[in-house]
Amino acid sequence: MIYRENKGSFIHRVNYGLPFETLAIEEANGCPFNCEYCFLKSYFSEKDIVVYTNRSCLFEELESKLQEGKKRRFYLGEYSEPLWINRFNKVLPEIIEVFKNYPDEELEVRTKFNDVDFLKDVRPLKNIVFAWSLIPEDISERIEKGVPSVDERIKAMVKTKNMGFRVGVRFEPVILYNGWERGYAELIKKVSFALDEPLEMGALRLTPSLRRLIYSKNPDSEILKNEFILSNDGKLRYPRGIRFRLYSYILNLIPASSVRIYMEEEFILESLNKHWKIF
Amino acid sequence: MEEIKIEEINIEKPAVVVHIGKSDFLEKSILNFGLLSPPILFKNNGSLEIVDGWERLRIAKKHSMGRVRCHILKCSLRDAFLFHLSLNMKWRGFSDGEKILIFKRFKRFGFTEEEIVRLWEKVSGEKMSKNFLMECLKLYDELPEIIEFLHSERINLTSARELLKFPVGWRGEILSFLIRVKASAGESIKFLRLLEDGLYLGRIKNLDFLKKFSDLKSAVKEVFELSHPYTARCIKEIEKIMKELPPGFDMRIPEYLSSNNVELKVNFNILENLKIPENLNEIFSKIRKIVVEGVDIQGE
Repeated sequence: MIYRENKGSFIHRVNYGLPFETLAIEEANGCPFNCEYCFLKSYFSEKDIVVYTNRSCLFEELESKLQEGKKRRFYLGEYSEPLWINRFNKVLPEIIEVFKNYPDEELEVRTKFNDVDFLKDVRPLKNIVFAWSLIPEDISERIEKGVPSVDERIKAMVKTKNMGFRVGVRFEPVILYNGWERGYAELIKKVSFALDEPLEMGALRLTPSLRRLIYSKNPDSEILKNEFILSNDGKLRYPRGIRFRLYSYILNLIPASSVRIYMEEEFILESLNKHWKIF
Repeated sequence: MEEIKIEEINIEKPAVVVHIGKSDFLEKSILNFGLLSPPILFKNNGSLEIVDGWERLRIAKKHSMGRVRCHILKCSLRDAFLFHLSLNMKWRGFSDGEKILIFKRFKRFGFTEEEIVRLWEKVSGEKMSKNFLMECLKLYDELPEIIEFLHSERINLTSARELLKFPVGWRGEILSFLIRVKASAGESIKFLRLLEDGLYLGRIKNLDFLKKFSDLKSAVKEVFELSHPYTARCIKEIEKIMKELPPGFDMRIPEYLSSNNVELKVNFNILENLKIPENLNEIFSKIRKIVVEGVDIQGE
């Protein structure tokens, strides 16, 4: 792990294709886990995890963005694993504290980690949501190396919810694999306690360079064993019909009004909206 | 200007000259009119090297012209090389194959990659990324035969760079296939991208099957089916439904069924009293359903 100053910006605009503006906070970058599909591997040139030390600059920039009062969603976890980083750099409780004064702005802490004990000392806020990225247990064991198991993550979700925090489920990415229908059905049953918050999901997408990187590390990667097409934004995605059927299957198991689909092409959303009224 | 004996000039393996091929026109002109424009030389470690006029000197030597009048510059090897590039860039330009030789020569003369990128832009006016440079150097090291193919435009540089996405052992075989089937640049790129998809998907494990193809169109069809099995299934399903249409209807399907506004183009000539089937709308909605919602993904 490298500790150093961030000479650039801490907050970046990200486009999730959601009906509100989204910004990502870069308190650190890099992740200790080894998920085969992770874009961070091709995004950052450094293999080490970088933690930024100039926290005052981070808070200054964050306050100034929040003061704009645009009712936006801020993300922690776009560039790093915020719960894991918090073990070494206790910045998360302070970031949450900042949001106390901006109830119309939302913070989503996206994670795959299961250490939530530090939250005992943090006051829950209505505009903070802890969201866990989940894929079915069987595929997770094979492609999410070093990550707490799905059950461990769900236990952490229950713990967090019991502490009074909002807890969300993110199927990020939705993956096609042999047995995916059973896998997603079981997973949805397990996380049903957290479906009072909208479930957000997006089917797997890879950049061509990430696909080459995955292949160079593991030519037999299960991720690559599916057909991809190059979409207009330069990302490789499952063919249109496959994506439609993945989303349809999940939408048949969850009230569609509490589902958001992101990073998806307009025509897929249009096609889905003809059958379901998505949130 | 000095009169120099041709044997004193290093024509066989010139240090700075990058030039592939020969010109019959120039040979005829020299035989008729002699050397109209004097070559430019420089001295390098006691040897007379060519800055400009290599082809003229090669022809003069071939026809035993003995002595030629030349300009002799006082300059370093690196400066002579840059001068050679500037002069030739102005008068004849360089082929893609020669460009790769130039980049290799830059490296041999000890220029850093950053310097090469900067100097090449200055000399040629072409912007180049470091990544592009590295790929060109890799092509030279791993597929030396490609220089000649690039020079003779039997493959273009974009297609050649696509080759680097494949395992090392595959590159030569794919290159010789592309040269054999004489594909255009666009066709080559399409073929290579499909082949790459098939490789990652694990449906193309070796290239033996390419041996049976003598044209690219049928090879692309097979590679498409291997690399896009789901889309190929959708298309087959659509083609099956299209058979319900009477003769005279011509329907085109978008290749990957993926574009933003998937458009089914149906052409028919109404003047020829073509009978429009009563179930036309039903056929269209069956096709639309496959285009939008796909087919069952069991077994994918």
